[in-house]
Amino acid sequence: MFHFAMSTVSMSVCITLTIAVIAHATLNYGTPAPRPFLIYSGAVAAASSVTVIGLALVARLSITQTLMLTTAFAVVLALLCEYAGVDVRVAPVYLAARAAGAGEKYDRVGMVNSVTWAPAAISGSAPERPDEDGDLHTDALFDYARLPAISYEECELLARAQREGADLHEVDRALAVLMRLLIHPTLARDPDLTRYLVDFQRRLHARRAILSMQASGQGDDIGQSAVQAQVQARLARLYSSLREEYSDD
Amino acid sequence: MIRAYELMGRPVITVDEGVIVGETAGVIIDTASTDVAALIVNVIGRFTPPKAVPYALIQGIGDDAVIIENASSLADFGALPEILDIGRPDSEIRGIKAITRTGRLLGIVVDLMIDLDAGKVVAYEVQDGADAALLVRAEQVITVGRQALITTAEACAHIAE
Repeated sequence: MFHFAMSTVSMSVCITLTIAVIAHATLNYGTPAPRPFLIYSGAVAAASSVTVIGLALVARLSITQTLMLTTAFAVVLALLCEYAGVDVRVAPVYLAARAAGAGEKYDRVGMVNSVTWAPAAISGSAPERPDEDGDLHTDALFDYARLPAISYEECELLARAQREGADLHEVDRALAVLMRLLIHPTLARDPDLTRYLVDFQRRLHARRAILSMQASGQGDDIGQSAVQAQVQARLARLYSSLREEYSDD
Repeated sequence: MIRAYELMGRPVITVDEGVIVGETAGVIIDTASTDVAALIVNVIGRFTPPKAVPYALIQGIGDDAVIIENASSLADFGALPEILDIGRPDSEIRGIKAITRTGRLLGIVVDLMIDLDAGKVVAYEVQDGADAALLVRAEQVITVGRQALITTAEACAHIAE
């Protein structure tokens, strides 16, 4: 019986891990496999198997009933972890990282992204400041359309997304384009362009937040001008706080 | 300067909404330029795949948290396949062999040293099998390949010293 129990536990762990890897590879092609997920799956499978084997021995269940109970137990445990906020997956990695770094004497200096914050926050230079109607100057954007990484259509989409009347779908597509541009190896090395794109992203995100609020029915009474005012107020608060922070330095 | 491994497990918070969106799970390195292209984030939700935050959208990395612009800064790897074309996760660089251009095995890459202000890898920590570890400076690295990190012959001279 002991051998049966041990082989069931190991088999259950293997099956769970295999399913986890196949499911991850199928659903997220090209994505780096999250190691904590595998640790989590293995731990859940082992814990559920051991518990169910105990129950099976007491209640004299058949092999089929035992395996079904194992699966059910694993699902229940996973759901409990999910909704109770028990982050089993990250804990081992976090502890390992802490342990590995504990004895070292490397500098652990905090970083502030000087490319995207500091210069504009201090000087208030053009790309960081919204113009009177809260929009970003799109002339500069179209200047960048000559770069191979940005197509003219993408520039048009970005310009359209920041105008009044843009819908949530357009803003989402524009945000996706911005993300692609922000990781582009050539563009990311141009600090002016990066600052411009980051500012664009902030503005679009603020607009998206309000549009999605409207879409979900929370802001039916919010008109276009009110949306614009909210975007401006939100950004003004952000820039104002940053300017104070840097002037203190 | 910080080790890439030390970055893992820190909460990621948005400056816009003040929301914890996940925890750091690694970095993606542009192997051609040694720039940090993005941060990998395990988002809240146990079965959600990890996401990437472009380095330009990271406001600060401190001992206790990583601050990013907003929730829209998190990109799906599926929606942003380019990110894996230009770079490679640090977890894939750890464990590869470090070999000089002249064919001498230096050891196994165990970690990467990152300059957070510049957003660049400045050195690779290499373990040579014994307890001793050495740092190979990024400018001494010719290629960061899938199976080996090729360094200049001078990196070997550094060991002799």
